Amino acid sequence: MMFEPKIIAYLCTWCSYTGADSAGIARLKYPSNLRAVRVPCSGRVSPELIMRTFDQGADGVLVLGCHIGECHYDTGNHRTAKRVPVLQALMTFAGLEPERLRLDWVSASEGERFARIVNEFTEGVRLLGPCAWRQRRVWEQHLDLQDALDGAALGEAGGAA
Amino acid sequence: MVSVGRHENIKLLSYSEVESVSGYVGNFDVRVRRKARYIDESLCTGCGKCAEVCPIEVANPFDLNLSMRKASYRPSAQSVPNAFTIQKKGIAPCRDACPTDQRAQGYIALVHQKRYADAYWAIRREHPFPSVCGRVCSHRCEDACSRGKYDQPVNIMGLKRFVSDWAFANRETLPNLRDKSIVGTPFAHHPAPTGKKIAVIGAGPAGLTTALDLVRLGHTVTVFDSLPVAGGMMRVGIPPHRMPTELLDWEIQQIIDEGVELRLSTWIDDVPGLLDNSSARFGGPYHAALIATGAHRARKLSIRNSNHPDNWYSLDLLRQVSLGKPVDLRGKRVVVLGGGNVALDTARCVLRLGASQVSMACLEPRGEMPGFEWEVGVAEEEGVRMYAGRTFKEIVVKDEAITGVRCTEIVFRGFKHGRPDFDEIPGTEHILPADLVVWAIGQGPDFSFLPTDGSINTRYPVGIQTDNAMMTTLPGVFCAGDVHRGMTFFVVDAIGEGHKAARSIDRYLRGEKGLKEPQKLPVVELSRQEIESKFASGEASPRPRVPISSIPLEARAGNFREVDMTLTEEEALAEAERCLRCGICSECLECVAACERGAIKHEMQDEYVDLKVGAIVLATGFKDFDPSRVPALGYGRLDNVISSMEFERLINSSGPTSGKVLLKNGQAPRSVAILHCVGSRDEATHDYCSRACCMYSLKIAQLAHEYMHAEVYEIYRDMRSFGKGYEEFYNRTDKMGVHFYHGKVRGIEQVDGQLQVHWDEAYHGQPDQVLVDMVILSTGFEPQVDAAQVASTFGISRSRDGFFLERHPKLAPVETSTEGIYLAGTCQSPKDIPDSVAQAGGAAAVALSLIDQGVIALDPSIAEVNTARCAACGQCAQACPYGAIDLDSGVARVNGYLCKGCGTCAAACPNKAMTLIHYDDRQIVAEMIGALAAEVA
Repeated sequence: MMFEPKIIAYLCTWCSYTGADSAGIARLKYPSNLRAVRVPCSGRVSPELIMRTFDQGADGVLVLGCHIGECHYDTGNHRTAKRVPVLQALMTFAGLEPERLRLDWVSASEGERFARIVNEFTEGVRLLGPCAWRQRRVWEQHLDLQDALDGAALGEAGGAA
Repeated sequence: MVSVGRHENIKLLSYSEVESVSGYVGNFDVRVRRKARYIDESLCTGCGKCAEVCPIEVANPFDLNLSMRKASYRPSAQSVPNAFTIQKKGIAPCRDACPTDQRAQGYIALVHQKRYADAYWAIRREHPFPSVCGRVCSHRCEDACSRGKYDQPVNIMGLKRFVSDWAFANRETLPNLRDKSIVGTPFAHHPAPTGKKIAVIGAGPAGLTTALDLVRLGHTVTVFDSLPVAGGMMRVGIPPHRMPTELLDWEIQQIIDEGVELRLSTWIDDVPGLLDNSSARFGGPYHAALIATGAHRARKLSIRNSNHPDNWYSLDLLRQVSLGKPVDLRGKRVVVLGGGNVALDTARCVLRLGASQVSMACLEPRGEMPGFEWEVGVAEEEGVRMYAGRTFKEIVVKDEAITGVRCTEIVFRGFKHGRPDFDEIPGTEHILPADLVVWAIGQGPDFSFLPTDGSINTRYPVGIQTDNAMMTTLPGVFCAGDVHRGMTFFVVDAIGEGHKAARSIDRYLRGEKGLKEPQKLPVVELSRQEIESKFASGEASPRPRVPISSIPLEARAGNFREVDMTLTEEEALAEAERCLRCGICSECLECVAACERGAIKHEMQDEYVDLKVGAIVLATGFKDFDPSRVPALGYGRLDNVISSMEFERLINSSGPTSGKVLLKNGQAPRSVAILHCVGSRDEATHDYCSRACCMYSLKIAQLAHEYMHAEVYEIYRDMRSFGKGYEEFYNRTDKMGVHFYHGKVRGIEQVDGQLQVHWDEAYHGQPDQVLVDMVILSTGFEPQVDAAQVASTFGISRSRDGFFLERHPKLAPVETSTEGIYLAGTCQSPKDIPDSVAQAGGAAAVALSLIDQGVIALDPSIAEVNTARCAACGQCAQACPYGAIDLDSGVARVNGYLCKGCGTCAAACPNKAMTLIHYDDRQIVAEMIGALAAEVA
């Protein structure tokens, strides 16, 4: 049985999500391995969030934003453009294939481009095989820690927040 | 436009720029810079008299440089407000270089207009002795002249002399012409007497200038001089073959006529007595005094036999010649020691006094002599022998008479700390034969008249010590000129110091402290390109400099006839045409004299206005595409290829040709081609369609057909006549007989004085051509030149084509992504007038509904800070594209008005203290976990 990778795509509301919509309207085919999560801007996607996505079992993470110079929020995608390569370098260091993460730009009218990117990426991740990085507990531990810290801070500050 | 200008609720800030915008929707702080118009809008009636008298003409950008306008102008007759403006580019370099702040560009422009009396008044406002400086000045103005960067500087000194000589020749009629020398200056016209008396010691250029300035301010001035003639070094230091005395005497008389009292042959030996009246013989007590005694004490070296009586001082010789006393040097061999201008003057005088042999010897080598290089050449031509680069060891005396000067050649390395640095070349000792030796190695001031108690301090080697306001160490006593500097400089420098001293003395008498110099505009620097474009537009003439002529050598022997001749009227006009009018307005002040409302204020400065507004609408318009960017069309290269905007001005009856559209050769064109899409729908320039050009091209076709009676060919790629009534207009144009060719233009070439337009037919690509007399290029629209800067100032984005970005192309065409800032017209995208007006109405409505409500609804999805976790690292503030976050009391703070909800700050926060409401990490992760739970289908 062929390995079917699970791909999470973070799509920005204004460009890439709408681009995905236009792929749909044009009835373009792309693999159903893709699960879309809409964010307001690709700048909302932090490296930490991407790592959590791998923690929870994704085989590949696709981050798509507006083309540089056309970000709906002016410079949000500039931030993403800087963050993702740094994360990819760290992934190599940590033993996670950097090819499992791809950053690209799709505008609202580029349905074809969207479909092509998703096709390419899915095939690429399929060749890499299942992702061995699975650390589901980390997120729960993180939430516990945050609550504890917040509680302590709240206790100290006497309810100021 | 008029109703906008008159509406009581609309305040029009014209000639203004927005410098900065801060704040947010509903609460904007806008800083506006109102550029100085130099004319008071509230007083100007738009009568245009200032423009009539203005001598400066520049190319008129309103007519696309097809006509000229004055420096004082109104953009068009229908301008709102209907007031004039004076265009000043800055200070012309000639004025900046002159120590007297002489507005040379101004009087040159007046000469160009043959207004010689006005030119004379313009000169005399700053310079009381134009006949002197028109002959002997070091003309720093010419050294700084922009023309000098291109070919040779304008002969400013020659022009000044021309005007002063003309004024002297016409001095009988001159007083009948209105004297405008006083109008417009800080000095009032017939000021009330102040009752203050000032004593000026020394009737040289510095002293007389100060005296004249002070008299014009209402004070009473008495000038003393130890000589029997006034004029100082101008009168007794410059020999008559360079400076005829009648002209200077007339200029001094004019100063006396303005009210200055002159007491000659009077030696002041008690300066403090002038103020406390302990010496009543000088007519005191005076409220202030000025020492301007010059540097009349010549020097000589104390070498062997330099005290022999046949060692003369240059200054003594020159003074005798100037006062007309006889000096007979026939048969004498004379050596003049020194290499400066005084030595040259002396040597040339000695020649004329009959000497059989005249030589000049100096330390400096030939190319480094301090005298004017050109004058060294003239002196040699006249017969002076130059012996440069030698030192004088001894005056050789035999049988009680001088026989020569013993010299050796030297290697000269310049002056160090006032002492010459050189080495003698061994074996080069020689004797220059001489019967008389005249010393011209330098002069200094005579301090013998100063009080011996040191109350007026002097400083070696500098002259009398003064503070910044030119007051000496004795309060109330000021100092100016050579005696201030301790050595000689030029007449023009002395006049400059005279002006400064007058301002200081006036301030002192009124009890004000400190010398406040007026704030100046920056100095203009013209690039070579700008100079060449002035030749092209006809603002200046490219011809070479007109040199000064001199009388032939034979005519100079044995007399003191003036050697250099003044420019003829023809030569002066030719030279005046060469001026580039660098500063544009030259402050000649003719406009001030002409304005009956007193509206002209040259001291105006840019003003800053701070406004508090709730909403902003940008309607900054577009820029025409420059068709020279498409070389194949030959604009700027071929004759009779014009742009659509140029055509509009030409066919307009109030335009540069009163509505006549003519070819370069002056004839009417029989055929015209109109080419669409120039600079639009073109990958090489702009790929967008400029929307309005097809319709205006049809309009131009109709105008050309009806008013020019020409055959009209319209070559179009597509006809975009989409609006109400537009298709009908197109059909009417067709029925009129305009020829429509559907295709794309490849290029234009010149064929026998006509233009061959090559084009490819639209459907089959078949090449074709049409031969016409004139081609009109329908140019597209571009964003304004400063669109990037404006977008940055207001914090809005631009779309890929450079126009301002609307929030949504269909649903929000007038809003920008910045709340409270709206767009109207072509700054947002190319469009025609009906669409611009419609969009403007939309922008007005949205702006009104915003401020009318009084409250603003915010998007709920904005950033939020968990202050417990926030460490105030500032990463969020740096990441925010809108500057919506700042740090306050140790935590980050989000401005809800400005936050657009992108979440970049939340991703940047290392502590996860920042989150985006409705896009919290928990929410996204929960969504992601759910998405991953499902198996692949």
